[in-house]
Amino acid sequence: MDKSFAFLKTNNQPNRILSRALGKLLDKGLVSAVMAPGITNGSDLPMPVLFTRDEAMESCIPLAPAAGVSAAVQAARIGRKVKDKRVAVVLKPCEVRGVIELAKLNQTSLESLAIISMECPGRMENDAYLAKLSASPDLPDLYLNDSSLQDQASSTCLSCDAFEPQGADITIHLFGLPVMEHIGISGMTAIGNELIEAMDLEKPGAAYDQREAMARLREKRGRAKEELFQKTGEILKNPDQYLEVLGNCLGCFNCRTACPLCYCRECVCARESFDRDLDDVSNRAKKTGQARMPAGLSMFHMTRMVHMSHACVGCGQCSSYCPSKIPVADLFRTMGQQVQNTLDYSPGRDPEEPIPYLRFKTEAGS
Amino acid sequence: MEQTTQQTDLVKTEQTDFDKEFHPNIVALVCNWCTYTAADLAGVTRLKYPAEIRMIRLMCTGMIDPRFIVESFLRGADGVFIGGCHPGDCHYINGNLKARLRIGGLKALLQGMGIEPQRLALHWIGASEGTEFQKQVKDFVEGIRELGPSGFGVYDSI
Ligand code: SF4
Ligand code: SF4
Ligand code: FES
Repeated sequence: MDKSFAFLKTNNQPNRILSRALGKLLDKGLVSAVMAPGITNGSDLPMPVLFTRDEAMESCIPLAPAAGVSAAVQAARIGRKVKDKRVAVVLKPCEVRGVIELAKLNQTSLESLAIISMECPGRMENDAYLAKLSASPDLPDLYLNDSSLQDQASSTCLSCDAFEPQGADITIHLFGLPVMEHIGISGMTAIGNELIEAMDLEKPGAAYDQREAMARLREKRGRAKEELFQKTGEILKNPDQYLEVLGNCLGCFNCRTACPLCYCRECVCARESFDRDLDDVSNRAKKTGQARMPAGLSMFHMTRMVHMSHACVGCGQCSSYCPSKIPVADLFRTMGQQVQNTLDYSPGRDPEEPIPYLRFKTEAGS
Repeated sequence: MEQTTQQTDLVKTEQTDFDKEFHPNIVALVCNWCTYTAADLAGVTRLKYPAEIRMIRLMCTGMIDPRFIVESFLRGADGVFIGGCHPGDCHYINGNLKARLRIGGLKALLQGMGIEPQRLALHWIGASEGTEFQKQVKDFVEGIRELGPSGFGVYDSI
């Protein structure tokens, strides 16, 4: 499929103009709904919002540099329920990976979804975003054009070099473009091309070379990622450092709730069999005379790692949700990379690529 | 009463070769249909194998939840030995192949947490291979003895 590339004039308001272009999909009946970051009564925090009428799209912020929750979970809910209709979902690249991974786990279907994603400058943490927004209401637009603002993204995003969407029907291009004048839009699939037809885009007048801007960012974030993985790899291997980092874990399970891949309704770690009984605690106390009573938290984290490290898409939500500010995502992404390398697997890359644990080889050997 | 105490003291002071050695805690998860039978055969044929292994019989290696392994290490195991049917011989068609994949991923994970890969072994040992069982267990236990204690139990303090 040849990908098409066209411009959308933004008049200093990329979010508003893009929202209107998405509204045209509703107006022309090409999609029955659009799910995109937006704000609703009572909150300025961008959350996934289901838009069904184009006039409501004024509260949509498709390129919002914040994500209250991972939209992958909500997109998966739509994909699971909606048949014979098309819904456009605007997702960040890590959320696209999440929904693809959920489809592989039979938790959703991609059939009714038209996935729109963007070259992602990163998201800010919720509190940082809201604090900044109150001083500067145009933050969602300004952010796209200001690398010093982008440097305030979450630490996960600052060390993420998978910022180009894979598996989307439409890609929004931002890097290396004068985003306050226009942004680029490409259809990546037949459906994507059909949809962007309806957006009334312009043929590119000038040619832009995005490669340099992309390479620079990939270099910068890639280096940050390597440093982070190096440092975190040491923490995981070293019991003292490990306990120092995870010692304040409350066992609240927020990290699991946040994770788009942890789809189980009832977590195995919440079962009674994971409770440590009192004999066990007093046994552990024998050596030093003391033992913490909420026990088994390493067991919880390691179990989640066993279940999720091959599938971790590196969205950072687990860190964002943690009340103890534990860098959970650093641990999971680092372990994720090690396990994924071993299994030769890249989560969310391709819906056709089987989950590694289902690819058994039949020949001998151990 | 007096005598008993004396006796105990006597036993304590007399260090045998056995006492001088490090005796690792080894959990062996073995399939009922093959390795367990092989172990039985080794016993019946009076083949000696290290006494450090705690054998747990399972119906198939395919039912090994990675949790069994993680929890063993967290609770102080120095090594985990797994024995299953040769590929093609699994009574449940492909449980052993599933086990192999899971253990492959888990090994990478445990390695990332500082556990030497040699501490987790998976071997295919058929029901008639008593000597093979003896050899593999011996090699495994000796390997762990050289490595020393895993120390992984510290991770369990939270
Ligand atoms: S483990 Fe954390 S970073 Fe990885 S997918 Fe889940 S929430 Fe995102
Ligand atoms: S969110 Fe933080 S405190 Fe809660 S269980 Fe996860 S790591 Fe522990
Ligand atoms: S029955 Fe022995 S490994 Fe499956």
